[in-house]
Amino acid sequence: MNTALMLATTFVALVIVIVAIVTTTELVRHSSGRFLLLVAAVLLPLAVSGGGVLAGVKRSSETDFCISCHEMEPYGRSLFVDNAESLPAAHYQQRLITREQTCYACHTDYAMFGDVKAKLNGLKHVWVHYVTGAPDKIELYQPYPNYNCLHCHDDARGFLEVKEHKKDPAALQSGEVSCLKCHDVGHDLRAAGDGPFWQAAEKP
Amino acid sequence: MSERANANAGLSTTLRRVRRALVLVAVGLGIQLATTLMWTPLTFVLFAALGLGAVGLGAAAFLWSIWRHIDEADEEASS
Repeated sequence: MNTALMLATTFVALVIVIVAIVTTTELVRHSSGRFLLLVAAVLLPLAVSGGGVLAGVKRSSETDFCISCHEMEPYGRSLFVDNAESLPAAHYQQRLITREQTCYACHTDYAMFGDVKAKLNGLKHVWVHYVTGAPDKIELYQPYPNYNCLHCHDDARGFLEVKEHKKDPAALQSGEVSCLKCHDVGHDLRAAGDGPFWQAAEKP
Repeated sequence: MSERANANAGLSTTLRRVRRALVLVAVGLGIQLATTLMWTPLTFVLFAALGLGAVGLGAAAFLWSIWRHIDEADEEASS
């Protein structure tokens, strides 16, 4: 559900509820009116709220949303640094991940409750941003898990044909050997400060 | 108090409860509308905590008021 539709449905639902408040006395006199009250007080608001939650969850997974807090601005800029070794920059610039959900694509566990965990962590981030203040050095909650990389790369030709990946695939699968052991440049925050930056060429 | 007067009093109590529940739902939807207009991490939390909370409470209060009304009508009929 997009924002305009969500706003429109919430507004219509609100108007219906207000009309129901004003006309409650008349509505309770007829069975159809009582049903309308049930719709206005329970069915419609819950449906609209459910749609709102879905739209909210989707929007809160977007790149713009993640970097809207100033603490995340350098991480957003690091997507544009001209450094092919930097994993986030390479993934973003080569379109290996969707640009609309850049942060979410790599920082959400591809496990059963990965999305829920990401949203709960997001709540924690809001608390830190507004109440306790962000730490000087922002770190991951846990070492970056291999399964987040392998979710996409596991059966990719570019991954399978690399000599080093063939040596001990089980160690990579189990996480015994971290992908970051070799691919060790995450967000290039030094270059994110003063560049150089990659500029997308203008479309002809 | 006569039977009719008792019934009227019961109905007006239920009406009051239903209206209160509807007002709570309206407040919740209003919060959802306002927070959707300016979507930030904070407004998303407000949307979820206050907007959804008020709508959920209002819907529950509505159902509870209907339940109470039926219950009280039953009691009245049996007495």
